[in-house]
Amino acid sequence: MNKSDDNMRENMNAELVFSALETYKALAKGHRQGDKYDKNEEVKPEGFQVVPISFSSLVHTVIDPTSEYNEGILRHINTSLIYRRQYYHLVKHMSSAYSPRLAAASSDAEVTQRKGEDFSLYFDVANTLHQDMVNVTLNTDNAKLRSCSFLHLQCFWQDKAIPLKLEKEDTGIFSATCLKSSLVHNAMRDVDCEIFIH
Amino acid sequence: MSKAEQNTDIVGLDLISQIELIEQQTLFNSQTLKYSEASIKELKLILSSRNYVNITWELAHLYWVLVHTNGNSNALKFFFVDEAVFAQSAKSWFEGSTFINLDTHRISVVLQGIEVNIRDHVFIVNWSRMNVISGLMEVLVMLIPDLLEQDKELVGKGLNSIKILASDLQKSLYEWSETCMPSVRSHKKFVALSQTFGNGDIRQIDSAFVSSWKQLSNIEGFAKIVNFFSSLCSFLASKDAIDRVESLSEQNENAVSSEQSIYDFVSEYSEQNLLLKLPPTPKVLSQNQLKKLNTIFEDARYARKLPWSVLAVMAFNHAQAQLVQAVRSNASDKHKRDVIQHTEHYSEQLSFLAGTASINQQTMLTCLALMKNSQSAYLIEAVTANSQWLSLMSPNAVISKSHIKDDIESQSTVKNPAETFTPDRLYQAAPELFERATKASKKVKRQGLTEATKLDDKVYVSLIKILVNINDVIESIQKFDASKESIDAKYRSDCSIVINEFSQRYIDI
Repeated sequence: MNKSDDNMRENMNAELVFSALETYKALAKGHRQGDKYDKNEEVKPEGFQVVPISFSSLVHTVIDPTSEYNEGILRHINTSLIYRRQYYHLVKHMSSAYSPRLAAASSDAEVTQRKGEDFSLYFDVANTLHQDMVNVTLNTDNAKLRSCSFLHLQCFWQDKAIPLKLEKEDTGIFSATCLKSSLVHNAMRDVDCEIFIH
Repeated sequence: MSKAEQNTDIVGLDLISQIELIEQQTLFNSQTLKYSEASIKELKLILSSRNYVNITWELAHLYWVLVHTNGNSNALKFFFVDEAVFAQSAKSWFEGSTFINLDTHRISVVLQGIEVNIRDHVFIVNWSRMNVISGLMEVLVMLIPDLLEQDKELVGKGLNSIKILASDLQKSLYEWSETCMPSVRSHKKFVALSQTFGNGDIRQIDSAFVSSWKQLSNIEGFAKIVNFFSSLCSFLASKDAIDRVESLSEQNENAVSSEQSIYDFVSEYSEQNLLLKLPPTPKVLSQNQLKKLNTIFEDARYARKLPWSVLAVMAFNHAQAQLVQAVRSNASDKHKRDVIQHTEHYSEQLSFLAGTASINQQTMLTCLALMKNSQSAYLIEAVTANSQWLSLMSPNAVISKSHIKDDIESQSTVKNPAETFTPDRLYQAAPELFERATKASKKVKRQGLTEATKLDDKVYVSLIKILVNINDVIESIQKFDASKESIDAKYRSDCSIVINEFSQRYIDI
């Protein structure tokens, strides 16, 4: 191997060490900056950004969706399609033996409709894969809404704002899946909605 | 979309966020952290060094055991529902399980861990590794959505299935790290530093620190002077690492893999921040002091060799942080100019360092005073930890300094050190030292440093050792060869460059 090859190899390895050190330092600094996610934080109406949730937390939430902390996690799950899918998958995957409180949460299948000025909103408990989950479907004739690829729906219940991201399914049809206990469990009668277009 | 991109889409998290999540994760309905500090640190080292061959091999074996354990959804149950992730909980979990053993393979609980026998292949997953393996599982399960559904790929199958799983896990981690590690950014930084400092002598590098920062401050990650300093130290460290690895390779033909070398080097580097080793009590330094010193001590090995750079970081970092904040809050240009005009002189930084060293000295003496009735072995360990104290030993004392050192070195063979060493012998050897200690202790009233709040002797011995090392770093920075006039001239020259750069960067002209 000639000198030039030696230098190249040396530089490449030094860069690997440099990159590893920089990454390690970034990780160490991240740690010292403290918690980014405050367990007690409330979902802000404008807060549609995805809050990082660990897999363990998702599992904890399936086991006990009614604990105060896990209810907070549930609201965050609903802000992210990725987490919602994972959570949904977990609910299917884990037998109700893991989650007696989940099984007891509710079994009353129903479809509730809310009508807005130019949209209809359906909360469908019966057609979800798990009795604790709710399909939310929004139909609209509004041209502006129909042109969106997704809609951010803000449901208000009592003083709590529950954000939902509805994905476009077909022209004028948007849908999302969310946890019943976080949205409709006691709120079916009083739910009010507002749509934000981003 | 590449698989790596898909992974990122699924995770939605970068490496730092992922590690933060795992760090904060508690057990179900508990405040107990699910992953220990040691496990988190190892995960950080493994991921940053991309040294995950061994741990994925362990995880693949553990997973194989789990699918051959009676019960459903065992990986989910073991790692996430029952959370048998600590040594003892894992041991209990497996001791209470029955295994599906076939003619070709056998699983058994042994003293060290869970043993896998597949034909001639024998592997033990140690109990002590369960927590860090579980931490990796927490990372991986977010990367590979169907990771918990590997049963059919493994059940009833042999060693090859474990190899395939381990290889898949490594591949996923590699692809993920490609997307979430700052490789492109890191490459640009490395190239810029190589071009600027590649063949430079460390004194020249140090002397040109501020002008080099100005020259390279438009490179992503270098805008803040403190980050530039940190990357410069990483760069110097990477050069040293290669020199060391090459020297080791020449001596030993069985050189370890480059991943392992990088892991070892990063691991060693991560140990050097002495400030993180300070105990919470007694509190030695204020938060402000710690914050200011932290920039030095994260890279202490190189800070010692870069005194001008350290002074520049200490003098300008705070002002730059204030300017960044001022820009974020739309503060007036007048406010920003005020900030720029009030950077602290290098001589003030040197005074700060001298003051910190003095506080540390007082704290060490107070610890010594509090140990006056201690077991002799601790007392002697404390005294000999500080070379300055050893130099105070009287030449006419009953015992010589070398005698004390010899005694310490032979301590391990002494059955009862207290019988060999007595405090009296030490007091006779160093009366001035103990007078100073008593005097210092009267001035210190902090928690853990008074008779009323006295702590275990071990804490004081450990604290003295840390503070000796901290002061050693500080003194090596202070003792650089520069007159008051040259310090003043250097500050004026650097300050002019920094003010110019700050004005262009943060003030609308």
